[in-house]
Amino acid sequence: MFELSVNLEYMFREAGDDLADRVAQAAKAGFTRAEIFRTDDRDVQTLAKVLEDHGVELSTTVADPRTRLVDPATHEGFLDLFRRAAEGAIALGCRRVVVGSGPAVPYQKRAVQLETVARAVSAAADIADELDVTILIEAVNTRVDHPGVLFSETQDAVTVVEGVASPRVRLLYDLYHSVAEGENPADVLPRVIGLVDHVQIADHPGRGEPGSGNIDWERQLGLLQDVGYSGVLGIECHPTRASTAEALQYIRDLCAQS
Amino acid sequence: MELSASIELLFREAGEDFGDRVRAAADAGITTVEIWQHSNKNLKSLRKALDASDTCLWTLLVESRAPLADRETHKAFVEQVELASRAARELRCERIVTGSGVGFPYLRRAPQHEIVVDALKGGAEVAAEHGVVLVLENLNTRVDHPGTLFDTTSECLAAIREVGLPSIALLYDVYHSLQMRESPREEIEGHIDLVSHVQIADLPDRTEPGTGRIDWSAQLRDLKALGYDGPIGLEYWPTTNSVRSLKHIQRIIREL
Repeated sequence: MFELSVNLEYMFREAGDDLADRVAQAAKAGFTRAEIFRTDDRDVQTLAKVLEDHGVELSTTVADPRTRLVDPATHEGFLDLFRRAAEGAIALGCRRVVVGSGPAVPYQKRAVQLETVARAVSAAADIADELDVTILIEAVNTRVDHPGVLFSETQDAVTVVEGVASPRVRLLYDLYHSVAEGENPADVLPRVIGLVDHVQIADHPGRGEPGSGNIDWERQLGLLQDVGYSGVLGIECHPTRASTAEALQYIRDLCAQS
Repeated sequence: MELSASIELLFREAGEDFGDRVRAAADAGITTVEIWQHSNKNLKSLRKALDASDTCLWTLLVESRAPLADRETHKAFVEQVELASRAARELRCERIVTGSGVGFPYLRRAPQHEIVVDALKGGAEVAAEHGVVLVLENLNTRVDHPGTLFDTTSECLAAIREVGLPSIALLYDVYHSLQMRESPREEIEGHIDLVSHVQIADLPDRTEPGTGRIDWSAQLRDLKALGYDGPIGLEYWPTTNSVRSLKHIQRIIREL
């Protein structure tokens, strides 16, 4: 029912450090969509050819998420960074670039910080429009993995997406991060699905492959279907087994069944 | 139950001099007060005002906003604990307050927690030498202090247990706890032995009790039932003059 996309930063690491080898390994395992993080520290031309040779399409890339966007002084640099990230994505045949908030600052109210970040994203949306890419805004959990970031609840990302109000700016709903932050997808997804362009998953706790934790995947896939999600499911997990292909067999079977 | 007023936020009508604010609080019947920084105040004249009005200073801050999850900050943090402890002794204050500082997005919470515990241990040891208690405060990240590492009561309590010294305890801020959607009763039940102080403000705007959505009568009854018998610290932004802002909570305490 859902097409799967595999993150090659966390998965297929058994193929080695070279991303090209991970692409090959993922393709061999039958995956035709993949995701990576940054492109600015990579040989994009070689990678583009490897993707093409193996018939693998890139679903998302990430603009370096460490910029502290709550500080307006970072915005000019961020826009340069975003433009390069978008150009890198395009060179790889990808039209979706993920943008995070970066770290928050403790002595300013959240509402003010979200407004400042929204201004940066709004300016980036003009670049996205010019280059014909989509910005995906993602919240990540502070409970386990990323303490200190600003976008920690789905609502933070939603506030910015709605504040910018551009068709170029959409929501990446990461179900693992959402659950890790204490949210219930059944409460959140129906409310935000209209803004969602991409969904990522991993199990919780542990961020391993679906089936390694406590999440009921039949129920969650059913929920995604019920709310009308028809996009790709990005798997962004740390496999608990040596073979990524074997680790992902459970979620592949589940997606094939229904 | 007794009330303790933050004279950083209340009794500002009395002017910039903290001695004057102490006197204004005493005139309003509040003889327990709290301050933030000590380094920006004349401690001698403050001490004089406290003594003259028979007022007790309940807390002051360790002047470090350093991210304790970074070991590089620990030395300076312990120095600040030392300075705060000395100021506290001079003012006959027994509690010095700290938070954890911000978290770092690219290190998991568990290792950051351990590093903060090490800093707190160092701080609590210095506090003990001076006969004061280092009190760790929970701060909310949802509204006021995004990025702060220790934003839940349970994590503060866990850290305090791990430090395991009598010179560390919890400043349970009910306002911050409620902003994190915690249930105070559930958070504090079974841990009252570690609660050295309680602060309150109403939600959503951190104003005086009675101006927001919290049932303070129920909250204070719960705290009392759990065994808390210390003062209730008032750390809010008054929406009216300070004396009038106290009326609601004073009446609740009388009727408790």
